[in-house]
Amino acid sequence: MVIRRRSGARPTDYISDLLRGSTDSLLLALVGESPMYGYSIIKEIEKRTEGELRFKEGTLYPALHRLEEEGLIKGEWVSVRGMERRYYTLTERGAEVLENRRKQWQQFSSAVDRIISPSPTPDPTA
Amino acid sequence: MSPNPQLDQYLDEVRRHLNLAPERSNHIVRELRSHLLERSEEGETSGLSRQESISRAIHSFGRPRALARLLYESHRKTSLAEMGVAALPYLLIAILFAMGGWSSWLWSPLLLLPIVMVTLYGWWQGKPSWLYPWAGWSLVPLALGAYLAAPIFHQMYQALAGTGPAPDPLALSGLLLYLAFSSWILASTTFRVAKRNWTLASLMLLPIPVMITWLVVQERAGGLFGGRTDSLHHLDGTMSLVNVTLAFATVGFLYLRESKLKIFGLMAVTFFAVTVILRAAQADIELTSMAVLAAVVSALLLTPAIIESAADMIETRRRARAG
Repeated sequence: MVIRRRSGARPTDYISDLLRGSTDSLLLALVGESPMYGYSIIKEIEKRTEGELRFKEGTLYPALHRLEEEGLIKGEWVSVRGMERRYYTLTERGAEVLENRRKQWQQFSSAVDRIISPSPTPDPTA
Repeated sequence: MSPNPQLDQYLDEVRRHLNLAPERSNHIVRELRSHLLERSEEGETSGLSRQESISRAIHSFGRPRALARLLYESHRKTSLAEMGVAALPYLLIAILFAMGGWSSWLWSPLLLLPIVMVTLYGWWQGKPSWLYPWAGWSLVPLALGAYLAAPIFHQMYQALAGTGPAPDPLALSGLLLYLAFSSWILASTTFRVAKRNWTLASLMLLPIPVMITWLVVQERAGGLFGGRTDSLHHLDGTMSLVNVTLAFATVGFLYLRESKLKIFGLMAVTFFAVTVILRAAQADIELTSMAVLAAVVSALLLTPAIIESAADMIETRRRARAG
């Protein structure tokens, strides 16, 4: 996965690390909304993050295939205007895993936010 | 959209390095092709030439070998049945040793022939992961060919020193041809497997250091053809146990995903097996000898990694030259 910085700066290792751990959750969440195929997943991520994040194909397909091997998503060939596409949908087990990950992510991000985000400095005179 | 040689070449290269069953490889390549075509169509719509848009689409997928390796890792979940098939040759050899049947002119070929046939079948079927231990045992007789031909070499040495008659020229030329052929098969098979996946090549080579150690021990005790009857089979129990251990190690190898863990496991189990054989033979092993042994075992099992990185370097240079 690549993070595009609008300023043109190189991706930071820290954000790359954060994203590496979130690849599966991002894919499960997208596929959970509607059936998607590889190319559409890349486009959708680019669109929603306004180009800030982009999946590289070399990361996307191994991740999709791993999730399919684990039974979290299911692929099916569909022919659209003569173009063959493999659409992925969430399985029942995948939906459970996604739900679980969503909760964990919310707990984690809110906990980290409480520490990292600047809090109003208490007034010593108050 | 009409076929494109650059696209086909890229996908062929991915397929060649996938190391999966043909049906699965076809399915993966079909999906990648569909993506590449859609992406290049988008490029053409935005004003790029067909060739330029395909080149860019291919570039975004990265090097074919790296992509194939990641995809292989995603699909590499070996089933329990496949692990069992992979461990089977070690278990068969363990039974052969337990029965003391290895010295029989009937049992050894009777076992080796199906091993070679299963290897050829697996190779033809697209090299599934269970194949490599079978391939390793098929290579063992070739690797040990030089030992079996040692009497002829000894005779040649005596003839050169003027202390004995010259060996039969027909036998000598037959031997040299056999050695050249077996070295070629051994080297080219290792090279081909290492180019695809070096850890599998190391798995394939696993029986060779163990059997060489066994032969060395047998030689020190009087040789296989020395007419001994009492001590010829003194290591059979140990060899049986060692092969059962290697069967478990093979299952562990296929279960693990991390390459470093796999190779570390292989080196540890080989070192353990070699030490057990030497101990059982009551060989006097000093610390220095143990260190040398560990270095030799590591070198043998890491050779495929060197071959792979050399092949990778050649490929990168070739691509750079091709522009």
